[in-house]
Amino acid sequence: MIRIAKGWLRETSLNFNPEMLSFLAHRITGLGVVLFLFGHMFSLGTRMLGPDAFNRTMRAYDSPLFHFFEWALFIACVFHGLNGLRIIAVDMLSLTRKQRELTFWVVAVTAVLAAAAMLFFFPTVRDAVTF
Amino acid sequence: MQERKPGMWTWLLQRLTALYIFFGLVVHFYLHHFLMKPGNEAVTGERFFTAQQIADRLSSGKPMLGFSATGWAVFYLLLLFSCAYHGFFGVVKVVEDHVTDPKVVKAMNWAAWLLTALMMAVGIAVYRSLAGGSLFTLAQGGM
Repeated sequence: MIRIAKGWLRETSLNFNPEMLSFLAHRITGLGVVLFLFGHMFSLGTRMLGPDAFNRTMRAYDSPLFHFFEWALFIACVFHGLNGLRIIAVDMLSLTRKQRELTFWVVAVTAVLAAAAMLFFFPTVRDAVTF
Repeated sequence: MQERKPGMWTWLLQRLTALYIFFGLVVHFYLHHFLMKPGNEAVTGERFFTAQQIADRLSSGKPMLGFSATGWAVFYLLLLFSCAYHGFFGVVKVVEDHVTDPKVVKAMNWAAWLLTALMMAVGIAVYRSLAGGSLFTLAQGGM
């Protein structure tokens, strides 16, 4: 793992450009979401111990720290998903020359959705904005 | 005769599962943040979906977003398969860039299939408990 991470750092420093950064971010967000999948199954799996155990687990997640994690997960999913669509579009529609422009759009849309999502993931933000 | 390319099916399935995950997560997010209201916030201050609320949605005969109980079972189990396959084979692809030994690559592919199968087995058991019953009973509800 350390060898792979070092390789990524070396490649990124040698080819420091938006496409390389998006390649790196795609891999990091992908690995993060795979790790989350295990945690999600574990959390939902508490239902097998009974409804009270499930409700207790969900109640524990209703905290500022976990709200932040949920928001970070949302950003990771949005970026990974949109960047994945960009990769498919570049492959299928021969948009190689538009790669950089599309990369900027992916980052811009992710940023806008991340800002908007604060309303859904942070109750304090939602209460402050909702009059 | 065309040459058979061994990685072609994996590549195609990666693309197809990616598209389904994108669709699935949009539905999942819309449902949880727009259509449904979590818990009984007004009464007890709880801001999460309770076990009862989830069971009602997954096993109710009343369709939501056009999905009945069976529809939700198919939707979520397909989403779980897509996430597991896309995730585990995605990790294999990442490692493949750094490992050249074909035996190791083959073993990793088998491990990814095994993990996908395990995730599905656990997922079906968890889904059954979340729906508050048997998957097969739910399947009688029609799509």
